Amino acid sequence: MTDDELSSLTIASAGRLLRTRALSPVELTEAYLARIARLDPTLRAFITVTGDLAGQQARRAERELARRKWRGPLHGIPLTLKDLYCTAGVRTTAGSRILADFVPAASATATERLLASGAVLLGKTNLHEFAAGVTTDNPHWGTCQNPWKLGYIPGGSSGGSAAAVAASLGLASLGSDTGGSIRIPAAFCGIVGHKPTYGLVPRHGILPESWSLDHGGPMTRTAADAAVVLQAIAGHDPRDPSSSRRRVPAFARALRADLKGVRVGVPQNYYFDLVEPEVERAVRRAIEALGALGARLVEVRVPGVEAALDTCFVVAWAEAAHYHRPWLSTRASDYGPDVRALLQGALLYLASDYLQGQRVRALIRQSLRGVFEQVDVLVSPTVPLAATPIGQLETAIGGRNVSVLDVGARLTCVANLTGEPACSVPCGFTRAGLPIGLMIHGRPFEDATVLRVAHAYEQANEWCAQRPFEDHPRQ
Amino acid sequence: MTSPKPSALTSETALTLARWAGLATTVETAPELAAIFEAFHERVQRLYAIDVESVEFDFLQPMD
Repeated sequence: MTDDELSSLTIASAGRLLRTRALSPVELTEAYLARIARLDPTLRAFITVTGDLAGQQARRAERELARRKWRGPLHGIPLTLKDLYCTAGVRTTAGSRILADFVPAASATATERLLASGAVLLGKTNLHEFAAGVTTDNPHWGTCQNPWKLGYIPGGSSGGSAAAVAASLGLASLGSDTGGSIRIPAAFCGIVGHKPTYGLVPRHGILPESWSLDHGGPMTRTAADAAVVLQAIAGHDPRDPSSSRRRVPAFARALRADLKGVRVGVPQNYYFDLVEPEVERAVRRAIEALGALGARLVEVRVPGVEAALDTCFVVAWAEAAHYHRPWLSTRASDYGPDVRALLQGALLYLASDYLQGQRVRALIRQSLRGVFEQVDVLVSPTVPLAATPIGQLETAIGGRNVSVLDVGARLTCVANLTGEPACSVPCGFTRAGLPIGLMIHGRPFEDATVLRVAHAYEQANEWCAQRPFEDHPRQ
Repeated sequence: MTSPKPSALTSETALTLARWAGLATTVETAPELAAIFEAFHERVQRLYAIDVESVEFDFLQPMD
């Protein structure tokens, strides 16, 4: 299988070839492992490559498919997991030195479900240490590179997952998202990243950053692929107390509907106040395209959303500091300097500070609830800027200095506070050749609507078909 | 978080606060900690400027 053939595959197209036995899972897996061996020393998207395990799983899939025992659309599909998802017998580091030798006895629910659906695990991907940042400049496991432009960050914290999908080192990955950690790297790497509704995907066995804000979800080439992966991992798990008992809808079926009558909210405050002009132009063009596809564009205001970033910061870091407290007092020097500083700072938050954050969060939830009485989805940039150079901690937008961490999570963090679903889909490139993401944010448990809008948009353009290491159109 | 600015909090105070919080610290790291503590304090003070009287503590409300 050539690199061009490998790079053009999606879960949908590979799945058809595998099911009809026009393609062997073993051949496909070997092609990905060879590509990982060739590209990953540069990209540093992986912490652990599970070549032997992948080979076993691929051979099993091949035997089953030969007997016409088809497990579903992920059968024989090679993919990766953020190294925050526990994998029985395979080390799970959380991108840290502290857990460098941690080998879980049991897998995360999402891991179990993917493997039960016949997926092949190529490896565990690099991340910002303990999922606590947006650069994936990892001091312990290597600095992950953006496949579109070496020397630039892939975003984070699920940066290795995004880089792996973008560089065709696997057909999908699972990421986690506390303030934007699926959607930020998806936007920076030109792929689709979906943060599901809180409670839809069980978090049992995903190492926590912040219990009330963490979500697990798919990172893929297309919205249709995200629907397939989400279908496999969604649904109640009694081992996760926050897991919903709602019936899981058929996500792929929902993608067939067009956008006629869908009310798309275009925010008139906050979301476009601090955005790079190139990003704003691409997103506004994408919004016009949604209108051309039949959606009704509705101007809306989101009162109080200006407090989202501070609220998310206080709640997330207070919860994270509590989880890390034992290690902070005994193994502080084993953390990278940026993560250690943030955790140490948050350890001084008072209970009153945390509760103030939670009450402001409730106000923001009320505000979004009002918005979603007027519209079906809200659209905006995923991130106000494109990927930044590795090592750059601050940048300027419109003459204002902002930290990369703050501006990275500025828009994504809203859906973490509210628990609502939100998806990033590619919508263009900067003149420097870096991808731009459009975020589609919907009502609780209306993930299917969010994916339907993302799918309709990507069907109407070529952004998702672009690949790094090749020429691609400029805006 | 923006880069820590020079802090009005003294190193001695930062060390006391850090020990109070159970952090293993040294005199050498105290100026950095002082700046971090101050940046975190400023952020939460902005939240206290928001009137939350109209809402209860509902963050554990189930989504469905």
